[in-house]
Amino acid sequence: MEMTAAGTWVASNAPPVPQPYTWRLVPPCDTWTNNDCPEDMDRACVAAPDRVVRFLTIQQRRLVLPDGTTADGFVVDPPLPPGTAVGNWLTFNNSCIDVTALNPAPSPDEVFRYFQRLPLPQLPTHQQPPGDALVGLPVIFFTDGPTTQTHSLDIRGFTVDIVATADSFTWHTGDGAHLTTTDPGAPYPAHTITHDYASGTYSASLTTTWSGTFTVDGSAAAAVPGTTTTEGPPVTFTVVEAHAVLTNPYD
Amino acid sequence: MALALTVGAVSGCSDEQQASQTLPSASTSPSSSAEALPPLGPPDFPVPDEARERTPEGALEFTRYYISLLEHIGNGDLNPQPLLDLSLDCSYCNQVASSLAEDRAAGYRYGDISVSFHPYGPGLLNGNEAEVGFVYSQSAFTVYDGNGQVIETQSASATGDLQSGALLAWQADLHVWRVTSMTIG
Repeated sequence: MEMTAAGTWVASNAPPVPQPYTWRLVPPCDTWTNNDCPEDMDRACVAAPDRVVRFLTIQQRRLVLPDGTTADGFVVDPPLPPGTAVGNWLTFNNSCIDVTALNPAPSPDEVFRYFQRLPLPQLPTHQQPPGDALVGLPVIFFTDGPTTQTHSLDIRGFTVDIVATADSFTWHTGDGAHLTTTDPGAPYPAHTITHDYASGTYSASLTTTWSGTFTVDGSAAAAVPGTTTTEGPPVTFTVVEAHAVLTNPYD
Repeated sequence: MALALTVGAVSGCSDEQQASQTLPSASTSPSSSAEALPPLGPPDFPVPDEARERTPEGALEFTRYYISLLEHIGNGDLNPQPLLDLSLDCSYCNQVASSLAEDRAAGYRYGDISVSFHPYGPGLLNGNEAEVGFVYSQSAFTVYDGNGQVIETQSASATGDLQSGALLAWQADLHVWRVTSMTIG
């Protein structure tokens, strides 16, 4: 296809123009060693939800032209067949590049964006004693919801299996305290999470923090680079003072 | 095998038209521009004077030396440190050095290997950088464990001619080139 001076496209059967270079895209930090990759070489790129845009290093390598030369006059001796790649890969540029058409495997960052939208459980808060609690008697908290979830996704034709695990639990006690634990607690007598209250009515709830691992088409598992949280429904209860009541010991 | 591509001897380049075909002996008098230069490279295999010139020919000779240094290390104690000393952020060089270090730690040794190095010509200079194009080929390559047994998974067949290249950067304080990138095949 060629565009004329008038701006119209014209098709023909002419052979394509010989390409002077072959190209490849590499992660920028692959070209740095000793873990000294500069921070500006590892950056996120803005992308629409249906696009894959990554910060990559564009490299080019000369191809021998039909006349035996190269585009920049790099000497090739003895002569080589046209189209032969010669010389070193040379860095052309570092840039955010839309690679959607190349359909690369999902990157960890792309998987994380899906991870953040998974329908993970909103773990409920259970308190003991059920109903009203007493001042001086610690309230027990626990949750009995699922703390591991597996989701299988199709991301641009790749099967991505994510295993989400509840890493930590933040108990909002309703009186201004927030208790963070790594276990979901348990009912009495195996309880591990308690809180003392003054008299009053309180609304408690649980925030669960989830981490995950994922595989792509059965690959080795890798960690999802980040966590997400879910908010459980609140429970309301009253804490009352116990008062001594005199009774006729003979009643 | 990436490692196999980088260990071996630089054979005489019968088609070489310009640069010297052999490395100078240790007794060669230094050129006037190389007087009092600190020696670089292994003591028994130093960087030759003609490879320490900031000229197209110097870039070519340094690349020839670097390839032959790989052979020297492969036929010796597999200590890859000189390769790292004479490179800078060269990921391919680092891969080769890592492989050598691993094999050394495992007690491996390399069998005879022959390598040919045919440069396209003198290096292409651009400021303090140079590029050298060359054809590299390597014969079949055998790796032996400490008991003399062949390790098939580490050995490799002959490569045939591989169009290759190296990028160099001039380090003025040491008056030497350093490899910043290498492409084999």
